[in-house]
Amino acid sequence: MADALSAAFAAMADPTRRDMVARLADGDAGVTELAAHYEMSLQAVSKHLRVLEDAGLVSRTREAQRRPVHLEVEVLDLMTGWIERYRRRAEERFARLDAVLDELKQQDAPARTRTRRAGGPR
Amino acid sequence: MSTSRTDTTTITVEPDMPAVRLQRDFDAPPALVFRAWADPGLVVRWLGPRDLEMEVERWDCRTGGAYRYVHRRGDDEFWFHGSFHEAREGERIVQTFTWEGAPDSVALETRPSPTSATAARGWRASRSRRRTPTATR
Repeated sequence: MADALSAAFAAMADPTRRDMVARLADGDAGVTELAAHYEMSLQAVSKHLRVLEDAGLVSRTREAQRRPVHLEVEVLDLMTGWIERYRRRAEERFARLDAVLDELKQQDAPARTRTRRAGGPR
Repeated sequence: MSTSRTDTTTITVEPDMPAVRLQRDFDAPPALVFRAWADPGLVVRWLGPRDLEMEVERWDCRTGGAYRYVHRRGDDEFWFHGSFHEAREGERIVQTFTWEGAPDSVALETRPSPTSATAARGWRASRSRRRTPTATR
C-alpha cells in the first residue's frame, strides 16, 4: 500500500499529469481528446498517461478503438487520506497549543487586574 | 567551447519546489502565541505527536539561536534540530527544521507566512515549509 502511495505521489509531481487528472475528473476522455489541450506530441501525452496508469491513477478500458482514459478515484482517495492524517495531527498539536494559550491568558488576566488596582486612586 | 570558464553563475528556480502551507488561527494576542513558541517549558506541552515523549536539549528562540530536541517512543529516538533564523517577538519566527534521520533534507518554516496578514487579535500562525531535497543551498 505504501508503494502504491509513493507511485501515486511521484506521478502527481508533474504539472502536466496533474492537469490531466483534473480534466479526467470531469469525465473519461480519449487520448487525442486529451492531447488537444497540450502543446506536445501524441507520443508524449501517451507517455504521461502511461505513468499515471502504472501508478494506478488511471485505467484504459478495452472499449473498441477509442479506449477512453478513466480516472481511478480510489487512488486519489488514498492520497487525500494520507494528507488528512497529517492535517489531523497538526490540528491535534494546535488544539494543545490552544489549551496552553488559554492558560497563559488566565495567568495574565489577574495580573492585569492587580496592576490596575495598584495604580488606582489612593 | 574549449576554454574552461568558471565565471558563469546560473540561477535555477525550481517550479516544483515543494511548499506546504498550514493555516490556523489562535484566539490569543500575538505576544502570547510567541511566548508559547519561544518558551521550551511550554513547547514540550504541545509540540509533536501526543504519543511521543519530548525532551528539549536546546531551545534558544531568538535571531541567530538554535534548537535541538528528541521525541521518544520506547527505545526509539527521533532527534530534530534547526536554527532560528529570525525571531521577532509577537511578530515573526523563521526557522529551519531537520530530522536527523535524513540530515541532507532541510525545511524552512516561516510563521506567520509572508502572505498572510497578522490579525489584529490573535495570530494567524500559518506555517510555510519549504523542503530543499539536497544540501546545495
